[in-house]
Amino acid sequence: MERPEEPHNSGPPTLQHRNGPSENPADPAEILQHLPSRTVGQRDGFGLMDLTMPRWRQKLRSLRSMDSISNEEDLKGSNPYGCHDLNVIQTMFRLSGFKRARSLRALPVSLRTRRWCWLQASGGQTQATVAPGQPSHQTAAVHTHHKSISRLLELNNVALPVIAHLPRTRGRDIIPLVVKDRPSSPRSVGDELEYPAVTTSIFGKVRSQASDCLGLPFSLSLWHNTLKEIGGSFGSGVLSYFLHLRWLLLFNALALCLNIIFLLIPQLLHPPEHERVKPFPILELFTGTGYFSNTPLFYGFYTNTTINLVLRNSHNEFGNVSSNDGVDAGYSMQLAYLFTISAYLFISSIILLVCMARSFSDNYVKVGTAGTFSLKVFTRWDFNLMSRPAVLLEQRNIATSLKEMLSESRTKEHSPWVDFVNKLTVQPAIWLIYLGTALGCCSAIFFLYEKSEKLESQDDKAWKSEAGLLVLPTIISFFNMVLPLLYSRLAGLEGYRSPVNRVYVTLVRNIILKMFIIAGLFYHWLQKLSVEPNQCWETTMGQQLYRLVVMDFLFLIFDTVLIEYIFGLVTGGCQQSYAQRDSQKSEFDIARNVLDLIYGQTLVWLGAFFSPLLPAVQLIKLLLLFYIKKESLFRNCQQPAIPWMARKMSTVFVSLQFFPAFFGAVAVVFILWRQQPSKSCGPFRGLQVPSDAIDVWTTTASPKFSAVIWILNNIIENPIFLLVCAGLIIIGIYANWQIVHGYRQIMALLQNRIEEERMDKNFLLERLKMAQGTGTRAGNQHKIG
Amino acid sequence: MGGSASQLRGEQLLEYQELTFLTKQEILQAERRFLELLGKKAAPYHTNADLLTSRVSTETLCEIPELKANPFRSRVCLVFSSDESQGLSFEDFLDMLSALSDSASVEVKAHYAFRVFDFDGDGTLGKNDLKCLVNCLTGEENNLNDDDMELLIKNILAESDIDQDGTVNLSEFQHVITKSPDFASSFKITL
Repeated sequence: MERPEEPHNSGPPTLQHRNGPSENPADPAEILQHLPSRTVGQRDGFGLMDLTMPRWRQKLRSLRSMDSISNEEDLKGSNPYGCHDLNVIQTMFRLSGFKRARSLRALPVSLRTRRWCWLQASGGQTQATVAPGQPSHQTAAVHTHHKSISRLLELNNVALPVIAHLPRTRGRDIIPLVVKDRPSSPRSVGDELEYPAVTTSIFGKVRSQASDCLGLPFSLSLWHNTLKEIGGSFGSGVLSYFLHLRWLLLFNALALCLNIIFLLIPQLLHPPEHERVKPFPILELFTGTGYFSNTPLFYGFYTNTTINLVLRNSHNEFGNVSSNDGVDAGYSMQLAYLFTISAYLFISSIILLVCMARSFSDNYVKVGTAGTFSLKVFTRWDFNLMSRPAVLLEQRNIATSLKEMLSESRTKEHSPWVDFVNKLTVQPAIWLIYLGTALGCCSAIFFLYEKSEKLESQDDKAWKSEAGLLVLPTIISFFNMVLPLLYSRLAGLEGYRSPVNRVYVTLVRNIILKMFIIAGLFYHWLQKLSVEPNQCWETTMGQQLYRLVVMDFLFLIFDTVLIEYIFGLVTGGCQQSYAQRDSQKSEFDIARNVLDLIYGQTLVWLGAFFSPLLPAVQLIKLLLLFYIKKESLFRNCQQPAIPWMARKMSTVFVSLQFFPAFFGAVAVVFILWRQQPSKSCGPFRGLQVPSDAIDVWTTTASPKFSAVIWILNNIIENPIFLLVCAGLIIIGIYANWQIVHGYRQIMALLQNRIEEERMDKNFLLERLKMAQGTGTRAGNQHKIG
Repeated sequence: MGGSASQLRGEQLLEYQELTFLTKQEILQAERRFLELLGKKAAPYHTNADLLTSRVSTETLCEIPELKANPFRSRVCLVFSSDESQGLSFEDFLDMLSALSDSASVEVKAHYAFRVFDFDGDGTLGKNDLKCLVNCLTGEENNLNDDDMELLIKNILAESDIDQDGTVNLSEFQHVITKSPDFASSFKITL
């Protein structure tokens, strides 16, 4: 691949290519050109060795790339770096099929070369690698193939190790050459083109089947084309928002499945009796009271009976444990409720934790000291972009940001004191303002809440009191809409160095505010509601959270439509030229939208205990939200000006998702372990705390569960077990941290070493030049004389 | 994604799945697109041998919607082509999709990205390569002026040229790439 695309006018002369044999093979310039580190792009397939890799992989890494040897002279000159490392092939051959396939796939060479490697590796031991059931003519074909290759080598008079270059060299494809040796009947042409298929082991076959099955369903192909369109027109940043939405959809789908299978269906088999409420007015869809109070939507519907799985006529008395008719297969709703909710929260936390840990290690541990300019130039271009306007806009963005960075680097030396002053005065002031508004907002909410409750109790009309229930969620959603705008304006005043930092800070502030509000409300409700004796307080809590979710959704729609309506009116729907930054088009504010998603999901996590079907509501909400946001995006938004690093952003999103989820889980655990359930409704009536259900079960369960009971009592409830777990985790964290620290030190040492080598190399070249100079002079003198 | 319309035999499909990062659906999709691209210039080919031997010219490939607007499209086609004058064969096309797929490893992507950015094909990213790269990134209308370009290249070399020889070779390039977790998701094309 030698065609230069630009004339080498300004490059140093040493980098020019020679086109014929040079007159002075020992000329330092020539040597420099052929240095291994210069030609490493053509020869070497791999970069730095990863020290954590096992030995077999390190060997594999020393395999040189078998691509693009430009000159025949290079080939015949037995360049040491052109040698194919047979040891590596043999190592690969010793690997099991799966490992071999995986390492083979990672070679950055052409498919043909990989196939050749595979055949080489499996050629020596075809019996073992041929999958059972493969016809034996396959092995014969392999041998034929090898024979043709060796004949080819004889013809071309090259050594076997160098054959690796042949598949990719211009005009030297193995296929046509091998074909030439064969009689040219169409049938045999067809045969020759059919390589003996790379025989896959059984493991490989199973794996490919599994990937086929899993590749199809819901999660991976849902909205695939729409997302590709969005990524193509707006870039990866905006795409990451929609991906996060789809990911949250999965969580809710999981919760819903669990709840339906374990809670809803058994309960529906034996529904409790409730008085029939009159058909509901539409208002109740928003408030969740009245008709909905006794539906499976809320906690109050579920009973604490033990449902007989075999539908015999066991008599369920309201509120009592039913008799089993001597059958042990009872399905205890108490335990089911407890374990389903706990399992769902536990699984969610684990998934979030794993995702967070993985992306944290990618983004923060491995990064170390990253140069901003080189990162920006090398990794900036988003190959997902497909539409011309988006590409033009992106190019403009890149140009602007590069110019900004360059001007910053010019002025950085001149005014560091501006930063200092900034840090001392402006930032604390803004934080004070922020805290002030947060406190003001919280107190306003509480004040209005108290007031609305007083109004509620005074009002006689039923619909008014029900509408009064909606006041609180409306206020909260209104503040959620307005305050983030205020905070982003404030952050703009602070003069952060990079716009991304500004976004992070705004996100964190918003999250803290919302968490305060929810936590405050939650605590307040717990205190107030649980002391009332007759009310089903869990259902009330569930209804509150349901109202919050519904109002949140309505405000999101309102917000989106507002943008569309206002900007639609202003622009009059006319098409603007895309090359300029559209001042009338709003930017898709990724941070704010993700914040809304996180907030909504936190509500659902909190409410999962009180309302098992709340994930269904959230599922519907997310589905509708996807389409609404997509429409709004295409109509009146353009891609953001600041470069949104998609991966880093998803780390941030997942971490921001994790902390509220964690606190939600803690809140639910607290309720399960400490709060007294209401006496008149729900699966835990009659117990002191819901976790007593486990104790009840352990005392009354049959002996065949004794092992489980023993584990429960002695291990899980034993504090020493928790201490040991915590200790191990801490030790693991510390060890990993030390390892990372050690790697950083090694990297610094190696960089120094590389610099020293370079100095050695230059020194030797100078000496060589001097030696050349004296040698030529001596030779000339000899000739003359 | 009907198997009935596919020209590939079962073993070939399995082989491609083993040797590339693509899944079965992606390979079948690639085959369909490749046949469409072939069909544009002549009568549709239907045999297996024709699929494997025929080549799509670089110009045709650069017109597909995924690459049409990409400033690096001709470089990408050149890098993956096994024979530049004749275009890309089906296996080259699969190579390209495999390297640019979701599941390709970062090393593979970094290697091919390096070759895409190496405009003069000399095995390293010299000043000219970096200039061409920056011009591609900013587009024709927004080119940086000479001073800015000089400063930018100086900064890039200062940050990434570890052995200080004035060029960025593959190892140094990969060293920079591993610091960016976004690279894998942005160096991606899906059909």
